[in-house]
Amino acid sequence: MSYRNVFSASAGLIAALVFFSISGCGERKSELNLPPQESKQLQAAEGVPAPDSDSGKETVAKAASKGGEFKKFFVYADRGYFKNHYIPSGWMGDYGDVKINDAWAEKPYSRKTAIKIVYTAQKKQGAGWAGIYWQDPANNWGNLKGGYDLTGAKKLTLWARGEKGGEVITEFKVGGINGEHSDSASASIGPVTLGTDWKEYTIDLKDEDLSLIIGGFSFIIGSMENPDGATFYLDDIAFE
Amino acid sequence: MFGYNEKMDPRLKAVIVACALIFFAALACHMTGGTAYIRNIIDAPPKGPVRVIESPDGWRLTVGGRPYFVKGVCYQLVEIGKDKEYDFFADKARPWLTDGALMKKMGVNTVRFYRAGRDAGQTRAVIRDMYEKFGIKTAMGNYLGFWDWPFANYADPALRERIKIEIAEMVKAYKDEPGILFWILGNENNYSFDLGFRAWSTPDTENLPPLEARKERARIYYSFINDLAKMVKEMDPNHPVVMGNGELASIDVAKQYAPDVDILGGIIYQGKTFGTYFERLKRNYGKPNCFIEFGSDRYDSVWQQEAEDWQAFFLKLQWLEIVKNRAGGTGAGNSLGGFVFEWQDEWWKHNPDSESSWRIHDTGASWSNTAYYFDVKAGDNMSEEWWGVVGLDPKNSSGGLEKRVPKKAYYVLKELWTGKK
Repeated sequence: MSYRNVFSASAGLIAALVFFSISGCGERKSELNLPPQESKQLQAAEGVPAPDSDSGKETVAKAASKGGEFKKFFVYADRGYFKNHYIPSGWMGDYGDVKINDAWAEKPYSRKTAIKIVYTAQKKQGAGWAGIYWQDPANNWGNLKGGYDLTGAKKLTLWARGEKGGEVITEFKVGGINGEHSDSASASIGPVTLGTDWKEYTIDLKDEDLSLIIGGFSFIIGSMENPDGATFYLDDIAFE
Repeated sequence: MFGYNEKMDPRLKAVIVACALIFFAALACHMTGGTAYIRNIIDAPPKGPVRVIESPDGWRLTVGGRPYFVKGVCYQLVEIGKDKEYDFFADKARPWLTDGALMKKMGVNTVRFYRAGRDAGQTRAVIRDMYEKFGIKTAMGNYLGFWDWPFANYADPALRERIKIEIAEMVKAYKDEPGILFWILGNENNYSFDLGFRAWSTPDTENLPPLEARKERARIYYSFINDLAKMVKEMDPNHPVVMGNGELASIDVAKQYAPDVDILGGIIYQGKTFGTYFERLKRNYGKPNCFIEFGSDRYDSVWQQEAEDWQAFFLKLQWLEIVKNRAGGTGAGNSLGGFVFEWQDEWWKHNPDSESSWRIHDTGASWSNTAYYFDVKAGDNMSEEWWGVVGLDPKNSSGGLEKRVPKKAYYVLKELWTGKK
C-alpha cells in the first residue's frame, strides 16, 4: 500500500462521513407549497427580492396630489358626490342591529346630507357589537385587488355627533383588513363619547404606510357601552 | 510497494493512526447526533437572574447577564381521550420527556405552562427535567380565576385574597428552580371588560355611563394586577412579571395603574401581520412585549383538509415580524420573543362536553377570523383542534403515548430558530 492510497482511502471515508453528517438523508421538510402571491410575500419578508420581471407589486390607484401635496381625498362628502371613495359594504358583528342612511338631510355638518346610523343593540347575530367598513371594491375583505395608494396623507378626519349625546363609539378606524391583499396600515381612535353637536375627530396617519388602503374607514359600536342602542351621524370623512 | 513482511515506516504508521482516530471520532459524533457533546458545553442552559433591560436601541431580556430571546411554545398537553382536567404533570408516561426532546431539536428555549400541576413536587420535577435534560426554561402562568364559576369578579375582596394566596404559593413553590424564566399573570382576562366576555361589575360601575364603567373595571383589574406584581417581586426579585392581555383596547389604563408589571404578555390573532401592535404598545404602555400566544390553525374549512403549508406560512411571517421588532431591529425595539400557540393538537376542544368526541379529531370550526383568509369562505374557519405544530397519531402509540408527528410549521420554525434545515 502506498502513502497515496492510504491517504485517498482515509480522506474519502472521512469526506463521505462528513458529507453524510451535514446533509442528512431526508428531504427539506420546511419547503412550503403555496400560491405564487404567498411565496413572494415570504421571499420579501426574508429580504429576498422578487425577480424584477415579476415583482408581484399590484397596480394601485394613486390618490390625487397637487404640486407634490396630498389633496383632500373624501370617503364621504355628500350623498352621491362624485369625489366619494369606498363603499360601506363591510358589515360586521350584529349586522342586523344596524341601519344606515347616507342621505340624511337634517342638520348635516356640511353641504346637503350626512350619514345617519341607527344601532339597536339587540344582538341579532349574538355578537354584542357591530360595525361597518367602507371598502374598495365593495365587499373586499382582503381577497380582492383594489384600494388606493394614499401615501402623503397625514390624517383622516371626520365629523360626528350623537342623537342624544353619550353614544359611545368603540373605534373609528382606517385600514386593518388582513387578507391576500391586506391593508398596509391599521390606525384607530376610540372609544369616543359623542355629544349632540358636531365635533371633528382625527386619526393620526403620519407614521403609517398608506401604500394600499382597501378599508378606507370603519366604525365599531358595542352593546355593553350602548345597552339601549345608539343613533349617530357622520359627515365629511376625508384623508388629508 | 510494501510487502507484508516489510517493516512499516513509522511516519506512515502515525498517519494511519491519526486518520483512524479522526474516522472513529467522526463516526462517534455522527452516531450520537452530531457534535452534541461540544454543543452541550457551548449551549449550556442559561442560568442566573432574569432581567428586563431598556437600552437606547430597545428592550432586552437577559438571563444571568446574557441576552435571551424567547423562542417559545405553549405547552398545555392534553392527550387524546382526555380533556382540560387532565394533569399531564402527573402522567406516569412522562410525556414531557418525549416532547422535550422534540422541542430541543426544534430550537425551543422556553415552554409556557398555563398553570402548574395539582402537585407542586410533580410540577417541579417537570420544570427540572425540561431545564436539565433539554435546556428549556419555563414560563409559569396562572389564570387568576378567569375560568371560575361564577365568573371572577375582580372587585370582590374575597376573590382577590384567594388569588393572592394562590400566586404567593406558586412563587414560593417554584422560584428557586433554575428553569424558571418568568411569571405570567392572567391570559385574556381583560376581555371581561373590553369585550364583555365573562363580564363582571360592581354596584358603583352599574351606575356609571358605559364608557366610564368600562374604564373603572379596567382600573380595578389592572390595579389588582399591580398589587400582585409588587407582591411577586418582593418574594422573588429574580424573575420578571408578565401580564397576560388580549390585544390593547384598555392598555392606556394599565399604563397608569399597572406600572410594576415588567412585560406585556400579548395575545393577538391577526393573520399575516401584527399591524401597528408594537408601535401602539410603545406609545400607550411603554413596556416590552412577549407574545404569550400567536399562531394559526392548520385546517382548511373550505376544502376540508389539513393545511400544513398555510399554518407554516402564517407562523413564519409572524415570527419574522417578532424578530424585526426586537432591540436593535428595524421595528419598534420592544419585542422579547413569543410563544407559538401551540405545541400539540388538543382533541377535546370542539365538543368539550362530549366525552366520546375527545377521541375524535374534530374538523369543525367554532369562530371566524377573516385574517386567516385561505378558508374564510367557510364562514367559521378557525378549527380549535388543529393548532399544534405537532400532531398526535393515535394509531401509533408506545409507552402510553401517542406518536408525535411534527408538521411543516415545526420544520419552518426549526429552520428559523436553529438555522438548520
